Amino acid sequence: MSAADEPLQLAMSLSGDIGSPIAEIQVVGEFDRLQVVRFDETARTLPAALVSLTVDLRRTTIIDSAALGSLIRLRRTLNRHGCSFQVVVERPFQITVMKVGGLYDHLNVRTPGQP
Amino acid sequence: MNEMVDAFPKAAVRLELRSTAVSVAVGRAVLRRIVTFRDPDAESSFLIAFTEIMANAVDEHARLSSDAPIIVEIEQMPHDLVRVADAGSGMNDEWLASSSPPDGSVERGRGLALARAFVGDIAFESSSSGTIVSLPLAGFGIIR
Repeated sequence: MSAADEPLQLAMSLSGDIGSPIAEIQVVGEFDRLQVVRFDETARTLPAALVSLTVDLRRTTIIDSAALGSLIRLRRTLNRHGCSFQVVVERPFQITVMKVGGLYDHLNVRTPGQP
Repeated sequence: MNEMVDAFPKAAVRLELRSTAVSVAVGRAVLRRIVTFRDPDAESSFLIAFTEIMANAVDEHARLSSDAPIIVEIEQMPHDLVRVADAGSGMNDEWLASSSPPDGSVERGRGLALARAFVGDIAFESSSSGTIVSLPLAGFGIIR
């Protein structure tokens, strides 16, 4: 089975202080409309006291427009709680998705190794 | 030689897929099996465009409560390409002309822009009985 055939995997990690946790969600595989429900459910389990969330998309093989919609919803929810939000991408197709989607600024997209 | 070309089956693969989100993933899996992509990034780029076109077809069939299948043809001759045909009511010119993504806070409306960004030579044939979208594989890979 190649990496591209792997189903979506979600890994959430929490760090920081108990009163002000920092979270990261790592998304692996195909992040598409079929998997958005799982991502939304995972996002709903985030603690309300969260101060920062990073969604790491570097190991995705697909990011479609439904996935972008899910990230926008999450950003909106976190904004209401004053939680900072950023998305990490690396591969050229991931960068293109964010740029064409017009979301680089809105989702606070970061590309490690690039200025 | 021309006879040989003519005798070659025009569509190497023809799929009739139920109009569901699962079919989008099934279509991608089939493409991965029979297309040799140039590199992983070319694979992801092409498959995102395919995903968006399939998703549009699924949405259109759902809007019309149509149980017609979505047809995916993978053609080998004369140029490798993937064709997606739906039985919707057709795309209007305004929608086809739109290529700009919506404002950052809007959840929907980026599919066509993504498909066009990744497959620049994408072609649409639309009528009141459906839409056929052709996605050339040139630059992305070849059919095995």
